[in-house]
Amino acid sequence: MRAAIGRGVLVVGLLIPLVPLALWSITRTWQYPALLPQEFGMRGFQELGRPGSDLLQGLTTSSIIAVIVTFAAAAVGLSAGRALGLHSFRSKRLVQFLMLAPVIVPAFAVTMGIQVLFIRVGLADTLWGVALVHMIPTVPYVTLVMGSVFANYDIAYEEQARVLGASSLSIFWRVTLPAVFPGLAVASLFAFVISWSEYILTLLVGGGAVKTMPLLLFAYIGGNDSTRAAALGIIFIIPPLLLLALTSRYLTGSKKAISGLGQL
Amino acid sequence: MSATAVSLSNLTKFYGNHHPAVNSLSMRIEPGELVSLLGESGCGKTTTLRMIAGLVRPNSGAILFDDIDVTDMSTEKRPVGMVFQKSLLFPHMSIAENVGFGLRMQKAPQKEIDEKVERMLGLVQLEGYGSRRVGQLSGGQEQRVSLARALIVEPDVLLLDEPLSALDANLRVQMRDLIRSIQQQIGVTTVFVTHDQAEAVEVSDRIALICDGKIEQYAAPEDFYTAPDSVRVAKFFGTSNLLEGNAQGGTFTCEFGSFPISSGHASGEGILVIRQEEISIVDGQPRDPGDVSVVVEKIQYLGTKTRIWVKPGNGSGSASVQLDASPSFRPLAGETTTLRFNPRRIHILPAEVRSEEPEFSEESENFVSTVKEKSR
Repeated sequence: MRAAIGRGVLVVGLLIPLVPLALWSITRTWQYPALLPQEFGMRGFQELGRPGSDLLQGLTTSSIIAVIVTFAAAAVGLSAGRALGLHSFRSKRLVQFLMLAPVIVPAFAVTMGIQVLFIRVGLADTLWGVALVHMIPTVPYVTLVMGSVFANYDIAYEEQARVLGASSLSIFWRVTLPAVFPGLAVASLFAFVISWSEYILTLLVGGGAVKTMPLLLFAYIGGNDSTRAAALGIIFIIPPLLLLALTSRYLTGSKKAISGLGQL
Repeated sequence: MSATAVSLSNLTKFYGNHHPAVNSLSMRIEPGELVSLLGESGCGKTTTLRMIAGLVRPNSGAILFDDIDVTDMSTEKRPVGMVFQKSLLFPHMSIAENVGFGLRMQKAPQKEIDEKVERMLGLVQLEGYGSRRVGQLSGGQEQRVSLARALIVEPDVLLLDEPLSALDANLRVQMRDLIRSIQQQIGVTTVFVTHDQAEAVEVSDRIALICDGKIEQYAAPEDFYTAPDSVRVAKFFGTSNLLEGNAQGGTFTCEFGSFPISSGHASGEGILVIRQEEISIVDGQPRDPGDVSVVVEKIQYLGTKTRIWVKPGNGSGSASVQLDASPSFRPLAGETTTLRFNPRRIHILPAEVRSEEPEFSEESENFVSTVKEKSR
């Protein structure tokens, strides 16, 4: 009973901030002092769907960057997490700390320097540059989750496969990857969501030329049309929610893979 | 398929740079033989097995399968099958997929895989279990699947790394018998690692007792009871009667008296070794040579037998002997009785073997010397 109440409070608490957003996105007129919109309409969404709107470009740019970042962070985090979870080596604590440093150090401070470097090597104002800088906040999360997944992983499975004649590549695809997949799926979800909602880094390195969804959103919010901004906000949260639904079975129950976050 | 002989020559493995885990170990396993590597944990038996599998590279020495040197051959190419302590069934595959894994790695046609999987499951008495998931089997069944998975590739050498230690007592006996019968049925050369001497005795053709990375004795199971090579071997196999004394001509004299021995033994100080079940109680006074009068020190009732500790009859000396008698035989402490040592089971060790007491292993000496160095 108490658990049910707790869960109810949690759900309501998480959903309440979304109610005004949802209302605004379908409002036609909503003037002071009315508690609820006086007139509803789909104007916000219609305007976003109109030819020449920034929406399609924003969605495409954001998706490309987030997908690149997700796969790259997954690859890096999988390797790093494996090393940290399975092996003990000299100055492991230091490596662990350095891997997590981006979570602690404000990315903003570091990015100023990175921006100068990126201008010099021609990565500033490019999609690849933005994707690269998104690795800073994403890799630590993937590494953390994968580290704890590998800490509970028995490497003897790989030895068993090897004795049965499996090559290193077969072992990775047929034994290791299936075993750590739930954790990897959750970690990738984090990476996607972080990249998808990243604003400051994108703005600094992308210089406004790489227009991702958060940049559009900020522009719209500043633009005095709450309905249009709210409609964009609703569209903005759909892709992460869809991914969350796809990976939700790994987040709960016996296969849950987020225990690594306890280390934060 | 004719079976393969395995030869290990001067295998040495260091972990770190001090004490070798396996120390210049050599042995030959005959084709079709089941040999146990027996020893306490940390003695190097598992490392030896892992070197045969290729999972551990020896620092020096060679491993030969028949005449082929496999020392540098990678694990996946070695014709070995292995069953680990844990069943290690791949959790995302069905039982049939697990068993067929090795053949899939060889890119065998699916039809052949299916047929062989069914045959292997039959061999381990799990017909019809192929479509089950991994979590749906008991521990013993999982270990049988693991055995089927190791055998499906028709390995030249089967390696078993304490495959029974995770099972409970009843299952362990069943599984042990199954392993032995399958091994004899297909005649595959097998190396079985265990720390349980009873297990080793019951399944093996020969046993290699390993201590500190070296073979202490490599012989048929019976010899470990009747003719141990050292005090250490005798103790490992639970022989507790070790009597110091003197061999002279055909007689061995110790605190308990004199015993006739075969005249082949060298004269001088020695240790008489006799198992507790080779000593019997005779009625009345000592009659034959080898009968001795003793005083009962204490007894312990063990259900199927009574264990009796005795001292020499004249009450002198610190020597003590224990023997197992019928459970109905319950002498009182202090009572005098007569024992007969089975003359054919008296085994004499040279006295110097005594110095190899496990308490004074090289390891502890090394440790002392390292401590000294550090304190300097």
